[in-house]
Amino acid sequence: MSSSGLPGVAVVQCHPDMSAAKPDTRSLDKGTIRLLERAVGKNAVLWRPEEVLAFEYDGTIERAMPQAVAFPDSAEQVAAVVGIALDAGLPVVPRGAGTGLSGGAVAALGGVVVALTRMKRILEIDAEDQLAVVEPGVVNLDLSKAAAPHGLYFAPDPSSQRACTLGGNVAENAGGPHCLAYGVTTNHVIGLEVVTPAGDIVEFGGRTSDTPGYDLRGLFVGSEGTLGIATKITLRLLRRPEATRTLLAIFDSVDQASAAVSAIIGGGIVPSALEMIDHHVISAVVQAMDVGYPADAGAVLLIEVDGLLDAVAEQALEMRDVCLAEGAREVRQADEAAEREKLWAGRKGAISALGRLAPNYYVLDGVVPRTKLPAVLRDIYRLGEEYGFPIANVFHAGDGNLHPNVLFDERKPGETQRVLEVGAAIMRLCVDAGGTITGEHGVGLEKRGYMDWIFSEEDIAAMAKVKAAFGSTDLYNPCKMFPTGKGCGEVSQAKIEHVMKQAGPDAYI
Amino acid sequence: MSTSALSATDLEDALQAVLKQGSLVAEDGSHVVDGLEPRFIATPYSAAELAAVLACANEHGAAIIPWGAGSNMMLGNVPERYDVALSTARLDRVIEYEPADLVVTVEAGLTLAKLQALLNKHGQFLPIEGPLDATIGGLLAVGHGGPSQQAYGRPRDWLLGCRIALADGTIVHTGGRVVKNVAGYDLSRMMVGSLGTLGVIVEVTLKVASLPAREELLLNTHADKIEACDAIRAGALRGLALRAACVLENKAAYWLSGPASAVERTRRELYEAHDGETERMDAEAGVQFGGALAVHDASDLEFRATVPPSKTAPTLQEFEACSRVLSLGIESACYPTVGIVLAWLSHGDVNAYASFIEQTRRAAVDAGGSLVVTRAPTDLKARLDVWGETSALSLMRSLKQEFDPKSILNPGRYVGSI
Ligand SMILES: Cc1cc2nc3c(=O)[nH]c(=O)nc-3n(C[C@H](O)[C@H](O)[C@H](O)COP(=O)(O)OP(=O)(O)OC[C@H]3O[C@@H](n4cnc5c(N)ncnc54)[C@H](O)[C@@H]3O)c2cc1C
Ligand SMILES: Cc1cc2nc3c(=O)[nH]c(=O)nc-3n(C[C@H](O)[C@H](O)[C@H](O)COP(=O)(O)OP(=O)(O)OC[C@H]3O[C@@H](n4cnc5c(N)ncnc54)[C@H](O)[C@@H]3O)c2cc1C
Repeated sequence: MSSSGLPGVAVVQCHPDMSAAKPDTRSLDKGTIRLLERAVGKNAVLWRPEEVLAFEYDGTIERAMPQAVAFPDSAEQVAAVVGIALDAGLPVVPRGAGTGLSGGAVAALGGVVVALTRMKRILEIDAEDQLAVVEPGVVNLDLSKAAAPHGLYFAPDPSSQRACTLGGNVAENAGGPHCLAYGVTTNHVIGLEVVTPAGDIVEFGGRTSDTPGYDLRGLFVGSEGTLGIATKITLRLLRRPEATRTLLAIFDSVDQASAAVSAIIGGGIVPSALEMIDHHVISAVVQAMDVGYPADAGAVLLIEVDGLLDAVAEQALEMRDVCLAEGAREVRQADEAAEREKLWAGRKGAISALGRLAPNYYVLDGVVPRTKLPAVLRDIYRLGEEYGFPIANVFHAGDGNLHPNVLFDERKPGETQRVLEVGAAIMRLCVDAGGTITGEHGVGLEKRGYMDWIFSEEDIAAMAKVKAAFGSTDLYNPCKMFPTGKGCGEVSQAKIEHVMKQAGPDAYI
Repeated sequence: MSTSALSATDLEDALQAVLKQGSLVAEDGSHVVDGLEPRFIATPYSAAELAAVLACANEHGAAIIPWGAGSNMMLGNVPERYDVALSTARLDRVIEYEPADLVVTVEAGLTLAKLQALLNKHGQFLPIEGPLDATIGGLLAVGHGGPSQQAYGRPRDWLLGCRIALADGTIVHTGGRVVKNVAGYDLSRMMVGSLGTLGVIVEVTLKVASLPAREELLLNTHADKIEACDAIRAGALRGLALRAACVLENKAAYWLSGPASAVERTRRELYEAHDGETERMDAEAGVQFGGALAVHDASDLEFRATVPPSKTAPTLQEFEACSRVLSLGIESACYPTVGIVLAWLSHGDVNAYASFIEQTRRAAVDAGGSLVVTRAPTDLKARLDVWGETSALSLMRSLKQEFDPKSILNPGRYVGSI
């Protein structure tokens, strides 16, 4: 059991005992393998331990071995695989690209991973009605690329957009830098085809934004693979704006930069993006690439406005004035695509540049009211000092969506445990400031233990009613989101250390 | 009048016991729904009291119709049973408002007018249209997108979290008070558009917007509706600063909104692209814009079709042709950029209306959309499902079963007679 050091707070994690006991589920027999192979094709089922190894983790610390991985190619095949697994008493775990940052695609109790990567066809781009119909395995950026010839794009742009799938985006309700003005995934999904845990193929929503009946579409988005598997997704596309302006506002301190964020938001302009990069991250970025960020800055804000040419010019000026009034030492503006790209390169490459500062980093995801940003950031740095870790912040400031990165070295004994503790303490700060435990990465395995910080037993019971209505059970993506679950134990210190040693630095991105 | 077998005195005693004095009165003809009268009208003083009424009704199997301002009680199928009208009128407090965060928390019975007045003082507003006396809870329970959805999205996009009194009297909260949040299932969205069949919304936290720097209305007269539709779609394609655009008669009505320079540019382009008559109105008229559309008291039947935007004009043509064949009077308004057609019918009998709806609904569904009858005489409602066919109905039924197993909330009024 790992204790966070906070009174009454445990870092609850779900992990099977990898060394000894089998998970609380039946093992995979030859007959089941044959059935799976018959359903999806012999080459589309992996079950030998060395084959399924690559599917034991996602972007988090957690890992667990599935017993088989099936690659269906149609909704019918998905339904067949789900049925075979559940009939055999095996857990079902949907999976996209495995870039998730909360352990959602980890087969916590083993079972059959339903990998959607074969279903990667863009079925339709309807330029007139500005929508696309895609299969769940389509990579986020590939959709925007395919829509580009029509002057359209898909707005949610998680930093992982080159790799993550639209199915994963739907399941996590993913966000990204440009979600400030245009909304997160749920604002862009208008229809879904879903294979329910009972194996039915149903449609939610449609090709229009309002359809009669309960908003099952809205319930499904963000359900972290616990209510079914999306097999077809109808998405809204946006028209490329006529003009875009990017500003880089340079501040001596994080305090000034966060005050500027509040002033911009409170002042009434909604930029299309408003990102903050602190001095730790800046120092990593300037070592890694030449993007012109001043190495001695306390923080920079990356601000983007778009729309009609006339308006963006006016808004860029206003933003500039606000930043200067809040103490910016300099505000640079990029109008041309190439210059803008350069400013963005620092933001996009920030996470990987962190590798320059420490062997490992642990990404957190919390949200606070925007007016609380200065105070909460101060407390985060203070916690970092208390625990002895530098904490580098690069995040969606306009939404109040923090991404503190705890920099550490897993090789030092006990560090991993303290990292999880400081992570819990930071989550607590967010909650105490009136915020929440996740803005875009989801609860998954990782934050199940924090759910009762923000939800009462009754609140969670209401969510369980939804799960029951969808026919979802303890075998359906087990140990995710809900604070308790049969057989979902807690991770011991030794086990985490072991897992992290195996996972290596890349697992923490 | 009610069909349930429970004794009126038992229910009354039980309700009196949980409510403050004066919070329960006998029906006086003010809360009729499709010709049905409840026995009582309960107007609790607090969310806890409201929840206690639900617990009590649930125990007695008494049917409840949650009641906001009652401005949209025409919507829905004929109730199966109706014992108590449960009013949110006294839940009208502002709980918390932090203008700098653009987030406000209010009780569900607060009226739209009061909320907008509060927000306006700080240069902000909630971009959801409705009659000024409508309650926030009622607006969200209905939840369909209004004229400004082109620029501002739908009501569901503004709800960050809420407190819900469930049928058994428990109060749960969902979501939060921050603008980005993916913790747990999105029960807030589940409540939007659920017409008070899964629970009663007692408190909401909303994201709000800053008032645009400039707003004005522009009316361009065209040869006919179809030309007006096409002109509007062309304008939207160019990314002009439009909050809403609507076709009324043969006029294209544009609601310009945004930074001053964007509004000026938009006005200029709309003038230049048009060679007919043009009329310009100020922002005040723009605010009335939504209101003007809803007043069609002389009609018998009102409906709303939602189709993919490019199908707006063809759908409208289909409706008009159908009304001619059936010799019905039709008035309409449509939003070609979001694919909404509103229409009002008159001069027909129940048979003609029923066959009109059957045919036009098929056309809307074939176009990839749906058609909801939003107001109709009770005898017509008895003949058709006002919502039309719904996919995933069995899942919706399961959801209802989980949240309201005794079906006490708005029984029979929702899709598939849920
Ligand atoms: C470097 C990096 C940067 C990132 N930046 C962002 C960011 O800016 N914003 C953001 O929101 N996230 C970000 N993420 C997190 C992650 O990329 C997103 O959560 C993404 O949506 C996951 O997609 P995936 O295809 O990898 O899903 P996976 O990790 O494979 O799965 C995630 C969850 O979705 C479920 N799932 C997958 N496919 C389906 C389906 N078809 N139907 C039902 N359930 C399904 C799985 O069961 C699991 O619970 C980042 C991750 C990395 C590694
Ligand atoms: C000009 C105009 C514009 C409009 N624009 C819109 C629009 O953009 N979007 C829109 O949705 N509607 C719109 N409407 C329709 C309608 O006015 C609203 O749905 C209405 O405002 C509902 O508010 P109310 O308080 O009168 O609700 P009521 O009529 O009292 O209730 C409506 C329904 O919701 C249920 N209900 C009421 N309060 C609650 C609650 N707290 N919890 C759960 N269920 C509850 C009731 O049981 C009832 O079935 C518009 C109407 C007009 C005239």
